[in-house]
Amino acid sequence: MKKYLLNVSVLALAVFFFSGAGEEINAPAAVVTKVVNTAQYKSSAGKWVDLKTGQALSSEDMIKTSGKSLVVVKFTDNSVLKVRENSQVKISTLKKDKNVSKTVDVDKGSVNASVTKQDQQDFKFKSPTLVASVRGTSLLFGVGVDSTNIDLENGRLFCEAQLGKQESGDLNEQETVLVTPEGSFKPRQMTEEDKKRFNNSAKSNVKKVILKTPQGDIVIEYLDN
Amino acid sequence: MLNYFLKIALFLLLPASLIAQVSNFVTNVSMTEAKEGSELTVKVDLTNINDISEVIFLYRVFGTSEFTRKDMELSGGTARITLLPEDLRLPSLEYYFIIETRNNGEETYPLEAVANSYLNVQVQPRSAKDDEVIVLNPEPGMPMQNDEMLITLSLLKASDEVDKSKTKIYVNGTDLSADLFIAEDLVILTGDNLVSNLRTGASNSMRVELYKKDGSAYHAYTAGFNVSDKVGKKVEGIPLEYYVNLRGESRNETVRETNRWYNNISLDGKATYGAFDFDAQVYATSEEKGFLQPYNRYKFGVYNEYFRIIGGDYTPGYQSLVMNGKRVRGVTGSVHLGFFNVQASYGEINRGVDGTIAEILGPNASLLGSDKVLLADGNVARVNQGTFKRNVFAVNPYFTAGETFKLGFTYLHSKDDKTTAQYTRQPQENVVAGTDLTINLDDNKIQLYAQGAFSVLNKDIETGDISNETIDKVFGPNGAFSGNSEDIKKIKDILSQFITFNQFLSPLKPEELSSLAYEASLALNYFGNYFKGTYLSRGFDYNSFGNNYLRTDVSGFNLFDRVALLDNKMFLSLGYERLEDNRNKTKFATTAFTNFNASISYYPSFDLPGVILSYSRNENNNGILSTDPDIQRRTYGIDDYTNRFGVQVTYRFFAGYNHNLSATGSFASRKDNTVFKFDANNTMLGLNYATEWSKSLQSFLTLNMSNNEIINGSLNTTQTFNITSIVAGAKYYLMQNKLVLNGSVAPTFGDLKRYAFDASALYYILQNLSLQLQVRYLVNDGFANDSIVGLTSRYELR
Repeated sequence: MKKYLLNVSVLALAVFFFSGAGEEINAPAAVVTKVVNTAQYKSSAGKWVDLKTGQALSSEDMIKTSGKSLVVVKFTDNSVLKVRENSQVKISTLKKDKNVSKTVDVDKGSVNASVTKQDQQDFKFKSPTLVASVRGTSLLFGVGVDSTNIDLENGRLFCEAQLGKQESGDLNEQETVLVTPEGSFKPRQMTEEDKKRFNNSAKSNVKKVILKTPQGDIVIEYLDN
Repeated sequence: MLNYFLKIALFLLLPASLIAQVSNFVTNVSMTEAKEGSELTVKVDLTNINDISEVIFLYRVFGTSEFTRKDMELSGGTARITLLPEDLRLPSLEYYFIIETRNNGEETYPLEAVANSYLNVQVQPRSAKDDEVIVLNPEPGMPMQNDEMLITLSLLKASDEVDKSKTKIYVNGTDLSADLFIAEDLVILTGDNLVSNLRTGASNSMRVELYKKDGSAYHAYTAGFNVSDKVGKKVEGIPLEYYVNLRGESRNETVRETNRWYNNISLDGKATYGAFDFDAQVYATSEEKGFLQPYNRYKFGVYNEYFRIIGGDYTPGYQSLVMNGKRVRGVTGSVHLGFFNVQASYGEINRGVDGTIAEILGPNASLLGSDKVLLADGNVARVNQGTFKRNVFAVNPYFTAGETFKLGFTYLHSKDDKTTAQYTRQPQENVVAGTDLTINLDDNKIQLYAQGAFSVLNKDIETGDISNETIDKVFGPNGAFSGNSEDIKKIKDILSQFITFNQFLSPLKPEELSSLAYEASLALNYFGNYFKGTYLSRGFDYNSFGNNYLRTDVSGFNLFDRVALLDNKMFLSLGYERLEDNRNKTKFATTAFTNFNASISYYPSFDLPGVILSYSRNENNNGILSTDPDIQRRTYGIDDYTNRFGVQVTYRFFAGYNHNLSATGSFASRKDNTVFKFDANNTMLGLNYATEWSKSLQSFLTLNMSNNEIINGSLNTTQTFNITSIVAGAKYYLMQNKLVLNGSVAPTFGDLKRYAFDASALYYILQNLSLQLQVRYLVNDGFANDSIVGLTSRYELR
């Protein structure tokens, strides 16, 4: 009887944790639609391998790019993430019913994001110094050695500094902010230089050099900034 | 991007129904899929181009009796127009064409349109299920790159009924479902099979089929996309990207034993420099003649987030009562500041063309009549009038708050330049002032629109403003009119700042509001029910040079209701309209135009046929009976009704290959109860059948039958006009799509007999350089055969 009750309790706990507000499935929730130059990919339990167009990405998968490289990732809700050169990111997703919560951990480098209008969905960008929650936004999220910079073209972001004073607040469109380990949150209007930086980050143009050789053409493709 | 849309449009035009009727000018009509919420592009292939001055597209949506007229864009041997999504409404669109000729004649297409027998296209409902398929790649509106051939879909929003693992995908008609990688919501298609089935440098199609868990069909989503090798070219050192498309055509026609050459060249390009976009289009043709309205076209534009400036030939969009569908050769500019915005246009809408002397009548002949002029040598001559250069200025400041609110004011001034046309009389001038208001609430589920405009027209400004001396003579105690001459002078001083003030001004009595036009509509979209009610009123004097085609002297209402039933599988549409003329009581009888429409559409599933059954009744009555005691009055009687029954079936199915079948049938009967007893009967049957055998081969078969009977009951005579036409053809891609062959045979039987043979070969010498040879040969019955041979070269600089 005790054993039976134990089994029922375990079953009930399992039902409680695994159903609840809705199914939570760790399924592929993004796909790589463009790879320029060289980039690598690592699944949560795997090794770094070359990344190719069409690769499905599941939660905890990582991407890193080299110089003059670019990776375009599309999530199932049509949000777009452009991983710029010399960057490394980890993508975490969690599906609940018809919504997907997404978190992009930017270890280094920068990402440009064009995020569809979220209903109940959660899209976060994280760095060691900052967490930004997104709703309907185009932004550039850049992580330096000990700082994080965000240029916000439109929409609104809620930002929380992770270190020092741990200040938080909203970043409005056409604003930029630099968050350091000191933890202050002081947005300012984007300057022309900031806008230029943002516009460059949104581009995904590719240049090609074709070397004609007796053995055939060698095509060298690289990201054009 | 422009090129991309052009290619997509060309592709989508192909599988649409090809309409073959007998005409002196139209050889073929094709259109993109008519779908609710989407644009519709209509393309007409023309012959005898030298005789055509304009092609007008006339259409009416379900539930209305009034045809909207729009000028088509003429370019070489084709005329083209794109209707906006709001111009389409379930279940169908009725349309026909008027081809205006240079000798001031006109012909309709189809010919039977003069007997109220029009063409009809079924409008497919936009399914809410389309939103359940999110296309991640290729991005909608963007071309797929040939080195990144990948199709990815997200089924995140798909219904729980759908078994995602059963998803099927067809690319250019080939089933590639076996190559799909489906991981939960993600559907990925890549690999050699996809690459070998795509057409680089051309348009492609994909069809995604979703199935329920029990294997039954749930929904089919279709989309077109282009595959290109490069998007554009960049200039070193500066942020400039551009493309240029150059096209040249030489065409020889032998029609009615008259041989003519047509040559034209077109250039279009687009460039982006930082935050600015530029485009330019030039079309120059040998048909351009100084004594005709312009055939050449040119346009250049600069666009930015905050402003745009367009020079050359452009059709600006203002509130429809004031200016709609009118090409302006000049400058159009707009500034977008968010809440406050303004747009303005200035240029000519008619070119000045001299009239010609038809006959010298001598010095003592009467000058009465608009076609008589006094020559410098004292002779009076009868003339064929020319056209004055007509300038227009329009300005439209407007205020917006997102999509929720818009309030605009429009002012238009248009005036003929009387120095620009010899032997031409009665230059005119027109002023229109209008306002429009849009309020959209609850996510556009409630849409309120209202507009009004007041016009003043001067029908002859040749003599300029009336002089104060003349006013003194005409008005007052000693004049012919009783008005106070001082008051008239004050009115003149004010009005002459806007428009030439003389005796030819109308309205003569502004207080009667005979030149006022207004309309208001309310649309509600709740619970699968779309309702729209419209009230309109336009005085007989209303006249805007920016929209000459507007029906005036009409007032009344229009009600339309569409109910979606059975989970959007069935649509019931009802329309009722009642319009009357004689708004200002200027006629001795008022005619009521009553129009009732009912239709039921059933689309059970994408793998089953869709069916539309429709009924309409039009009644026109002015209350004058055929038994009226006044025999003269009887002849002014209007008392007729037309009943029309229709059925349409469309069926897309896969039976080894992709098949697209549509069949239509309609029967109309008109009963005239006046003394003339002009009754008419019309029966139309149509069949379109297209098959996509592979990515390389497509075929089509079209059959149209039209039987017409016009009965003159008073004379007891009956005229019949029966035509049956068949078009059978195929399109074949060879040499890895470098060569595209097209051919068709089209015999016509009945009261008009002929055989039409069409063949074309398009060859890509290089990826960006192509040559196309087109041949059309008509074997006529009773007169000489016709031939058309055209050679077109296209070069794209990217």
